Amino acid sequence: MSTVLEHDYIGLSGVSSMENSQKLALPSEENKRKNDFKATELRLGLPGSESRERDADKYPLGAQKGLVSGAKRGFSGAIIGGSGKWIFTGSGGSEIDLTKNGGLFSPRALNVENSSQKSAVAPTAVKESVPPPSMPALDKKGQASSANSHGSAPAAKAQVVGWPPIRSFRKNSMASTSNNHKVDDHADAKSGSVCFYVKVSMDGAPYLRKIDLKTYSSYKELYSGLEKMFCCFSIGQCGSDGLPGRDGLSQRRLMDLLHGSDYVLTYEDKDGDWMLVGDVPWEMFTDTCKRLRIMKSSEAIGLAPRAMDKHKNM
Amino acid sequence: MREDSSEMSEDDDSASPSDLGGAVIKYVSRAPSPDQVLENVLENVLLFLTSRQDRNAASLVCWSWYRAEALTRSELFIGNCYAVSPRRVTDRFRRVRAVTIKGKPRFADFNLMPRSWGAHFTPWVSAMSQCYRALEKVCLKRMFVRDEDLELLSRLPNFRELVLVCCEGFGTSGLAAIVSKCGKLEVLDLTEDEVMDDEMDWISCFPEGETCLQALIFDCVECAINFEALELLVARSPSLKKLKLNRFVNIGQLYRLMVRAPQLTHLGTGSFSPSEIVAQGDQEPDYVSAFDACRSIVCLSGFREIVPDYLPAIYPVCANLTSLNFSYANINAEQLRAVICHCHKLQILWVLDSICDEGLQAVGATCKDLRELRVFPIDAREDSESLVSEVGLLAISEGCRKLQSILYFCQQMTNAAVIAMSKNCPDLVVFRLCIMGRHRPDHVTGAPMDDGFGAIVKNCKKLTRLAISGLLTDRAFSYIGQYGKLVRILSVAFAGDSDMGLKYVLEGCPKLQKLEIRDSPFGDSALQSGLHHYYNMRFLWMSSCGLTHQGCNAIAQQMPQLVVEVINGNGEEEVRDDPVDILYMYRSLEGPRADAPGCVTIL
Repeated sequence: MSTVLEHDYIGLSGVSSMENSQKLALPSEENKRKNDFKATELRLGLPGSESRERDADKYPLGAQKGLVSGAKRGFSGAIIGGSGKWIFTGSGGSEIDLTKNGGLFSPRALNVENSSQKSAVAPTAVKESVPPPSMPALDKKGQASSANSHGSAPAAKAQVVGWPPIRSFRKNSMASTSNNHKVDDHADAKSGSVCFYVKVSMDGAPYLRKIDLKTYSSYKELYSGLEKMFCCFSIGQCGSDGLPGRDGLSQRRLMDLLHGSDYVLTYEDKDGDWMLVGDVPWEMFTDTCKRLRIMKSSEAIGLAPRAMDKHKNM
Repeated sequence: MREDSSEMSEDDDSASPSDLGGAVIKYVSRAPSPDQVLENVLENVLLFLTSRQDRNAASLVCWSWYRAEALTRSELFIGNCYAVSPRRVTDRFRRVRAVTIKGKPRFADFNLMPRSWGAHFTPWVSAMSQCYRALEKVCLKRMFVRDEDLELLSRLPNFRELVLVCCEGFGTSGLAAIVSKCGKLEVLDLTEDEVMDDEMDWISCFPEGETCLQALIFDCVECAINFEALELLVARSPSLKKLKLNRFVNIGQLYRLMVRAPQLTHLGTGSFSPSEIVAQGDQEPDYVSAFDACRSIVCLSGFREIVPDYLPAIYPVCANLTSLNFSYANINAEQLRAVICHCHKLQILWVLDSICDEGLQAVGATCKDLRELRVFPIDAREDSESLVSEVGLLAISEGCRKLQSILYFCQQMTNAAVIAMSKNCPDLVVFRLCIMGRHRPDHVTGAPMDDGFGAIVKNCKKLTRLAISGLLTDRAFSYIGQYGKLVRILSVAFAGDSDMGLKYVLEGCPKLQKLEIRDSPFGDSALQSGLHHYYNMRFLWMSSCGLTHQGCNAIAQQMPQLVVEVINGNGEEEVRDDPVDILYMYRSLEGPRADAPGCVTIL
């Protein structure tokens, strides 16, 4: 079975990351890893067909951390075609719908997307997958679920953008206070993510920025957000009056840059290692990311072989 | 908590259909006439007019009144930065000392608007820094402000007061520019802004010597500050009355500051926890005596990372407190009760639902003078645990009869409790109930929440602001249209059955100024029913409803002085199919704006 093979593969990197994992429930850890990896595997089928198997497992909120075990997969396995560049398809519909499922799909899986996936994501499937406990209201445009549930009790409880209407500042503050000390027992299970604000540096830029990972629910949004932040640096002008205007000529997109392999987006994880962004499911990424760096690809070339070595040495 | 600056709140008193009235007429210059004497008299009289509604009315009387009013208006309020251009404003009003500008609509706070949408302060500050050299005060809400903009402001010779609410785009470098160059700075008020950490020690940038600082509010700044510099700053700011610290200031540091500033009236306590674990027997400062020495404190907030053991320190000031903000304090009912039982004069209370219904009962029992209550959820998700409910609402309504404003987040509610509140609290001006589960009915009867909200609009005769939630049919809207004759701001989410809902409101509420709707089944024909009213409104927001591009186009064609924006919420530039993602439309003298990003289409 392909899943067993991949499980062994994951097991190699899983050893070293055991110490990172918190709150792992041991008996079901095997299953979790298997299912988690299943979620990240390359798939050709429609997501709806597989979601039921995962449903049966119903990750408890605290087990969010258990996903960390799969965080560090070898580099070669993560990149399609082994080109060493970050590949991000960025095609709107499917990716967004997939992240409705709680971001369990690796972005890699998108490369073999079907256009029919968009309609295949039913609200019920959305509900029964892992709702990201630490990221309130991040699911991009829960329109399908809300439109379908008009006038009747809603089946889907996926978090919808901007609902409940609480400002991000307050949400982030709540997350940080419940992390800092747990007064109530119900605060415990719900304080998921360790990171919220992370520094973002870009090679060549005069100063750093900080972004709140919680405000994004997918890699695509992250790229979009970073692009807006850094467009002024990488490709200079934002219009003569300083306004980020519609001047198409002067506004190249960060994603274009990344496609063009001038820059690579990397992050520093909990262990202090620099990883390529996009390998792991979104939640895993936000749990482990400590800071981001938009690296010149000439420097990033070293990243691949090092990660490979890591994998081999485990 | 902006208890002193009502212009910044959503509930501001402006009923301003006449905002545009005078501005449409072009100013024609004339030779001096015998009427000049009369004009001078008029100017001196008009100086006493402070309310902008009165001034708008005065400016419509005749040309000389218009001119005189334009010369004597010193405080400018611009409710929508795109309704009028900086040039038009500076041409008409020549001697302005204070400016308030509001940018994005409120739903932008909840990530519904793409970040690139607009509301740039830059064109305003460019114009004002040339034309209003005597400018002293700037208040901005939901604007995009850059460090360069702040730098420009800092060069104004008389600049004294900067208030930024829910703004973003600037960092600690911009703050450094303001504090270092504005020698007369009296107020620096940062409330719920997103401030970038440029790793600039802005606190150290205040000039040497005594300062004029009266208010230093930076509780939203999420970066560490130089405490030693802050302590020295507070020590040399004898006029400092309002100090709100961010969460990087621990309780030991708070103590040192309070000792230096016993004259404070408004205090934001920072983290309210020690910097590291304090062992038994450690010598800790006498926090109680510090609070005891600050006898003037009437407003207390902060408590960002509270360790409840320290809560008793605030007891000495409780009796005088009129405003208490515990909305970041994860405390339970007992801990709240111990504090609140002393707070007899309390008028404004913000709390987390961690206090549960029992905590609210304690509030109802003591705070007989309460005017404003906000209960925020500690866990803002649809299916989180229910901590407060109709029980708490009922207790508040029975205990706090003078209540004027309530914002209440909960997981479950009943019509009976809402109806009871409508009868117990007839002075309600603002009623915002957020049942966090979408489409959730009365959890006892299973009925829609129509009757509850109906009772509110019917019984609360002074109601001007309403936010509805839960399972709601068109009937709820018919009640609002029928009884909500003073309603100016209405927020709707996941409610209604058909176009009739929106029609009831647009046809029935003559005072409606701001209407924000999301995820409700209202379509083009409903939109048509508001044509008679849209020029009287500040804006209309409809997202994830049933609107088509054609329908929005029709409105745009029929109403030339309305700017009709169709926005892709995800910031993408692609042209999307129907239904329209976000419709945001507002009256404007200027036509389509030039700074719209690709995700915005102006019809």
